[in-house]
Parts: sequence; C-alpha cells; structure tokens
Amino acid sequence: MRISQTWWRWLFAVALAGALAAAACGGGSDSSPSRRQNPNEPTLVGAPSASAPNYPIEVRRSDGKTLTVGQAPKRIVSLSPGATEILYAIGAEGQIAAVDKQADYPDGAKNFPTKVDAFEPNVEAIAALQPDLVIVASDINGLVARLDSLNIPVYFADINTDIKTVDDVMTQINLLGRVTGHTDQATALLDTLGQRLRAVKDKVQGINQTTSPKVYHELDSTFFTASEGSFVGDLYRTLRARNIAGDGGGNPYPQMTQEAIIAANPDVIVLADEEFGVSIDSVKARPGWANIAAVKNNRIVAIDPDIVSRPGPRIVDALEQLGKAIYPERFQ
Amino acid sequence: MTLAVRGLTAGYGRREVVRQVDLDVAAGEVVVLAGPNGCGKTTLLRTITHVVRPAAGVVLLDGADVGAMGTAERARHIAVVAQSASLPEGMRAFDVVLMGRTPHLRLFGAEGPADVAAVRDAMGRTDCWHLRARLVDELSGGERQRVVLARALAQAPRLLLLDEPTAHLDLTHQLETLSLVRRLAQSDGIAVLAVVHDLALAAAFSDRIALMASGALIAAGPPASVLTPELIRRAFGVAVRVVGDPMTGRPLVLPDYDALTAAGRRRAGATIEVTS
Amino acid sequence: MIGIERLRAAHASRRAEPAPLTWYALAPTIALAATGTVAVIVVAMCLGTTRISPATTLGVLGDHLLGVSAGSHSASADAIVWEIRAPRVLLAALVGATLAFAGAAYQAIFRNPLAEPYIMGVAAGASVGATLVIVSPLAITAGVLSPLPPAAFAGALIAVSLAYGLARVGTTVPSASLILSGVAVSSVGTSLVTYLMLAYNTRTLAILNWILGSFNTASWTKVAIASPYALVAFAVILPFGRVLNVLQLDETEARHLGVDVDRVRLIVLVAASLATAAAVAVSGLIGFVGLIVPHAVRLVWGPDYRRVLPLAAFCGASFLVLMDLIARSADATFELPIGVVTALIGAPCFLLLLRRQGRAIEVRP
Repeated sequence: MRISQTWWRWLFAVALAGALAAAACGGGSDSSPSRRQNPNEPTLVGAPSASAPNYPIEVRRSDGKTLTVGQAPKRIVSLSPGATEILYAIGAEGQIAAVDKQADYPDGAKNFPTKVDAFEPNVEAIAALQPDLVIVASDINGLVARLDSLNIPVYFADINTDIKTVDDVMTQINLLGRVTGHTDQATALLDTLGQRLRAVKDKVQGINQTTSPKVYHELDSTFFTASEGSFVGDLYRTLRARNIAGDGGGNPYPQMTQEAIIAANPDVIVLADEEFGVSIDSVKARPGWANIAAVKNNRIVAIDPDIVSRPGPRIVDALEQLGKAIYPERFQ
Repeated sequence: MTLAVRGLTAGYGRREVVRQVDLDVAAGEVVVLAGPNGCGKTTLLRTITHVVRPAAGVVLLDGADVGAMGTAERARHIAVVAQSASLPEGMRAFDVVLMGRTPHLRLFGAEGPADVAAVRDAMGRTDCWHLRARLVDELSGGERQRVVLARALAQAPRLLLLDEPTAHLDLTHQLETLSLVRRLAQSDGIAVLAVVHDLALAAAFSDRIALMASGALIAAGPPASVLTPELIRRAFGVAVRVVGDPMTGRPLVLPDYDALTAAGRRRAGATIEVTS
Repeated sequence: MIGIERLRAAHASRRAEPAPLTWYALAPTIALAATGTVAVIVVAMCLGTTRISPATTLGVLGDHLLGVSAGSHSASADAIVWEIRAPRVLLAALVGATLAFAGAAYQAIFRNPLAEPYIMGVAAGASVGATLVIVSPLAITAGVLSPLPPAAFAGALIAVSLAYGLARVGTTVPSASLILSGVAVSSVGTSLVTYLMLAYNTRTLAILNWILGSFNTASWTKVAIASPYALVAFAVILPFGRVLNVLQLDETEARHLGVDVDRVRLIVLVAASLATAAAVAVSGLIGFVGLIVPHAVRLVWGPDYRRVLPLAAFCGASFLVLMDLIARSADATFELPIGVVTALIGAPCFLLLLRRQGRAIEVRP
C-alpha cells in the first residue's frame, strides 16, 4: 500500500499540533488563585504560640541581602520541599498559602490545594497568591530579584551552597521556627531530633575512618553518585563511612566509571534510584559486578531518595536507615 | 542510430513546455536545435532521455521505445553533454572520463581493460589524453569541455545530445568543439542533436536546423531554409536580414540593430536619451 | 605532520599513470587500516584507571575468546577486562565505525559536505523514543533487557520514515527536500524532548545524560544488538562505492550515465539510517564523528568512495575508541562526557589537518 503525499503531510501536521497542544496544556496548571481561605480570617490550625517571638527578625539570605520579618507570616509560599516538611513539622502549616509541586510529605503537603512550580517559577502566579513570605531554595531565572522588585519578602537559602550538612538543617528548623512564630514547637522538634542524632553519633563513635565500610551511593542507572561535597555525602561523613566517590573531584554529583566502582570494591551499596527500575536483583545481575563485596555479601539496600536529599526533619530517619545498612550490628 | 520523436508533449507540473514535437535525426547527422530562451529546448532534450517523463508522444531509437528501456540501457545508447557539467573536486580527468563507462558496467562491477581502452580512445579523439593525470579543478574551461565530451564519447553512444556545448567557450574552442562533434558524427555514425545559440555556428556546423518557439517546432530543415527573416521573427520576435556568405553561400543572420534600439527606446519611454 | 607530506608524495606518484581503482590496489591500504584499528582496540583494552598488566589483560581475553587458560588472574581483573572494558571498547569501535561510515554515505548521497548521520531526524527521533521511556514508569536499568535501546531505535526509524515520506514527490525524492524535511522532523523531535524534559523535571538529568551519549553502560548485549545493523550496512553500502562516485555529479548527469538515482539513494539511506539508529540506540547521541571523520579521510586519501567508505569505518572506530579511553581514564574515578572529549580533541586536530591541506593547495603552482 503506498502512502500518498497527503497522508504524510497530515501525519506531520498532527504530530506538530500534538506537540504544541501538549506544550500549551503543560504550562498553565499553577495559575489558579488560592481557594483556601480569606487571608484576613484568623487561622485556626497551627496558630502562633502564646509566647511572643522577638520580632522583627533579621535573616541573612544566600545572596548576602538581609530579610526583615516584622511579624509572623500568614501566607507563606514554599518553593522548597525541605522547608515545607519543616513547616509541617513545627506546626506552621496553617500559615502556608502554597507549596511547590515536588512536595509529597507529609500527606497534607501532598494534597495541598495550591501548588506552584519551583523548577520553572511563574512569578505572576506566585505574586497573585499575595504571599507575605516566599521560601526559595534555588534561585532560578533570577526569581529572587524579581520577587524583590515586587516587594515580596523572600527567604532565600540556597540548597546547593548553604544547606549542605545535617547541622545546616537544624539551623533551618530553628530559623523557620523563629520566623513563623513557632519557636516552642521548633525547639521541641530540635530536641527530639537532637537526641536521635546523638544516639546515632554514639553508635558510630570510635569507628576508625580508615577502615570503616566503603559505601557506593547510586543516584541513577548510569552510575551517578553523591560525593563528600554533597548533602548525602555529609550523612555518610556523620556515619564515619567511606564514600568511594571521595571528594568527587570537586563535583558533588559526579559520574563514576564501572571500572572504578568494581576496583573500589564497596562493602555496601545504597540505591537511591529505585524509581528508575533499579532493584537489588538488577544490581546483582550486572555483568562484572558479581565479585563486589557488597554484592557477594548481599549488602545492597534501597532507600527513599527524598529522605536522603531533602533538607528536612526526615534526614535523621535517613541517618538511622543508612546507619542500619552500614553497621547492622550497631543499629538494632 | 536514428532518433525519431513523434508527438512529444512534456512539461513540469501542469505547465506544458514541449508541445507535440515531431523530429528526426539520422545516424551521422548533426541537427541543431535553436530557439529563444525558455522555448523548451533543454526540456526537449531531457524528455528525450526521459529524465522528464513525456505526457504524450513517443521517442524511438531505431524503432525501439526509449520510454520502455531501463535507465542503464538508455545510457548505453544516449550520451548527454550538459550545459555546465559539474565536475567533482579532487578527481583526475582520467577518472572523470572513466565514469562514462558506468552504463556498460554491472552495478557492483569494476572497470576493466576494455573500459580503459575506451577512455583512451575517447580522450585521444578529443585531444585531452595529455590531461589525464591532472585534477579537473585545475583545467581551463576549454579543457574541461573536452574532458566532458570525452566522457560522453566513452559511453559509446549512438545518440549524442549536447545542451549549449559552446556557451562558456571562446571563439577558438567553440569552433574546435563543434567541428570535432561534426567529425565524430560522420566517422562513427552517431546521431547528434545539439542546442546552439549562435546561429552562425549553427549554420556552419549543422546538417539541419530545428527551430523551436513556445514549445513547438516551427521549422526543421537545412539552414538556408530555416534561417529566414520570417521564421526568425516568428521564433525570436526580432527583425533580421539574412545574407549569403560571399565565400560559402551559407546564410548569415544579421539583426537589424537600429530597429532593435528603436524598439528599446519605445519600450523604455522617453526617459532614455540617445546620443547620436 | 610529516605523515601527511608522505601521503601526498605517494599520491603524486600515483598521479603519474592513472588507472581504475581495483580491489587489489585498495587491499594494502585496507589491510593497514584494519591492522591499525585492531591494534588500537587491543591497546585500549589494556588501559584503564585500574592498573592491570597487559599480560593479564591478554590472558583474560585469550581465556574467554580462545578457551586458552594462561595462568590465573584475579576475579576482579577478569570482571573488569571481560565484562567492563572489552564490551565498552568494542562498542565504541562499532559505534565509531558506524557513525563515520554512515556519515560518509550520507555525504555521498546528499553531495553535501555538511551532511551527517543525524540529518534525517535519526537523532531527534531516537531522543524522543528514549525520553518517552525515561519519563515513563518503565524500568530503564543498565541491565540486560532495558527498553531504552528498542525505544530509541523505534523513534529513530519513525522520524526517518516521516522525513523521507514528506520529501517524496511521486517516485523521486529531491535531495534538497530530503534535507529540509529532515531538519523539520528534527526540530519537532527536539522541541518534544525539551518539553518532556521540563514537564518531568525530576528526569531532566537522566534525559540529558542519555542525549549526551556515553559508553559507560556498555555491555555485550548492546554489542550484540548493534552489530547486525552495522555489519549489514557495511555489506550493503560498500559495493556501491563506485556508484556513489558517479552520484557526485549532478543528479541529472548521474541519471544520464545510467544510474538509478532514486533506487541507489533509497537503499543506501535505509541501510545507513538503520545502522545509525542502532548506534544511537546503544550509545546516545555522539556528535562530531559522523561529520568530521569522513572529511578527514577525504582530505588524506582523496574523494573516491571506494576508499573513503572502508577507511572512514576504520578511522571512526579508532577515533572513538581513543576518545572513550580518555573519557573513562582521564580521571581516576570519574567519567568525562564523551561528547566533550570528542569536540575538545577532535576539533583542533581536524582544524590542523584542514590548515595543512589549505597550505598545500596554495603552494601548488
């Protein structure tokens, strides 16, 4: 059957139209204004604590500028999933006007009615929500400057440069607690987390870092890993484990060669790429990997990539899980 | 080999460029195809070789329908020398002429001694054998034309079509090329159909002239009978005088330059000043 | 580069008495090129970030290939040489040969020195296929049965068919239309991929990694997948060498010389596109090789496609094996993107070659 010229043109036109239509539909889902509540009504959930926080608060941003918070914000737009988790954990969820699309924990955030795109931020959509505080973790497309020019208060804590350790996360919890007027809850959270953190550090105390287990943390099926300079790398450092990616040559997320992985012979393999279909069995089946210690001794674990990379309260969960994977005899 | 074209009609898309052309070229005969630009001469040549499919009519070589032949078979009988032959860079003249043997080779076959002999013969007769090792990029216009003609000869055709072979040549080479073609036609019995613009050259080197205008053949015959003021005016829209060459008696076409400039003046309006 | 001068001298002496290119005249050059390529491959297998002695490497290879057990080697060395290095080097050689060979074929068919294997939409189509798999819930492991290569392959074929169908006018396919329709299809494909990258921004990095091209997930399976298409393409297109030379003339002139231009074009394009699609499916989009290697071969050995085609394959193989060697060994632990290596090293080398060629032309009287 010969396909005539007109059919080809039609097919091409359909493909083109399809692409354009898809692009048009994909872009505009976050422009609906908040349906949640009248901003002037008092919030009932997560009301600010009785003891008045010491406003105004001066906060230093990642770009060097200072943010002044005069009173507890009531319409927070959080473009950082980590900050979102913290807000819920300190009981400030009632002061949120919108969360970012990636937010999926806790359930309240996952099902939050108003979401904005943090990767392709739409400044107009954010401004339409009339926020009194926008939390930004990545300054994409000059977002911070544009929000500044609209006189919208922005708290910018760059996730690549300023939140890189467990301690940094604790600092964030403290800070967000003060800013939102939930210092009591924040302190309580910090106490609990601090206790668990100390417990973890106790368990790994005294481990010799030149002989501790070697870990390979896999980010995707083409062998991208997290080096010591990354957030995940800090978790391993806390656990005194040896990261086979070392300092990554300065790169926090380098790509390793299979040869180097096999030669490094990791004792534990941590998979953060299950969503890509990588499973413990598929790793075992990789040609050439059978003699790696971690494979031979069946010490491959999968971990939720969010808890190891999101700077929120769950990193302590991550530490505990990783600790259990690396030192099963020490973490019961 | 004789060429017989009957009722040939062809064009591009809906546009008819060649209309109902009947033409004969006998073996050893040189017929010049003349006419104004855009009258369909090149298209007629392309239709004869079936690069352009005829809408109607038939082309016969010794009675065989060219349309029914395969591309390779056609190329074994018909060789074409295009107006401005493209010569690939970096190839030697020998290799270019050797390409003329393509129709005689099997699809994946290689050239053999017989092909080399044909090339030598063709290049010898066109007087370019001494250029065989030179890169074609380095040759002069006249030398290139000889190489292209040699390639056509290497094809060992029975019908040779030339599309303005003298367009870019100086006087010497114009005469050389056409006299060579004339000699080859007579010695090898090749039928030759050539598009030539220069009517004096056409008269000198052809046996017959076929005059075309607007896609139709308006006259075909010996130069003296075709190169008449009436026919030329019909074809070219130009007034000319035709005189006989005192030495050879061949018709010489002399345009009426004054009438031309007068017409030019009229067309351009009064804005053109003519200083006398 | 004295080598170039010597080659020119050899050329000049060849210019003394021209003769048709016979296979036995070509054989020594081919044999030399083949030997050189095999040598490059073996040396590349002996090199890597892990220190493994050449003796051990050859021992492992001999063990697996010939069943000859020459002493014992550690399981780790065996794994690295046989499961990691060998397939990777061979895949690089295969892909390099395919891309360069297909590039030469495309340049011949289109009579355009800027033609390269991705011009008909193979790259864009393969990207769309691969991207769709990456953003889907399907598993895209580096393991044996990843759906990535088949999806990329299918995408490439669909794109090429679309480009070809759009350009067709009756039974002929004008080459200018073909290039244009290829560009159009590529644009649509690229914009689709861009949209998908933004819409599924957690997958953006994975998509980009695939597009950049890499041999780090090479396996014997991938070698097995790509080989048939490559070998068939070589077998089908090589005999057309002489005809491709004739095709360098005007289309009409080639027809007047008895070449069935449309049929030759179709066969060569289909074979070259299939092979390119297979190469892209297993290694992503590695640029530069398909465009530059054929040019370099032509600069050194002349424009005869009977020579250019096989030599392009060998040179392409050696080139990409060397580039991948650098990509996987320049840093002791980490990969360099091969596209970057190819451009950073290949481009200056080619420019140097071009300048030498240019100077030679000026000097000629």
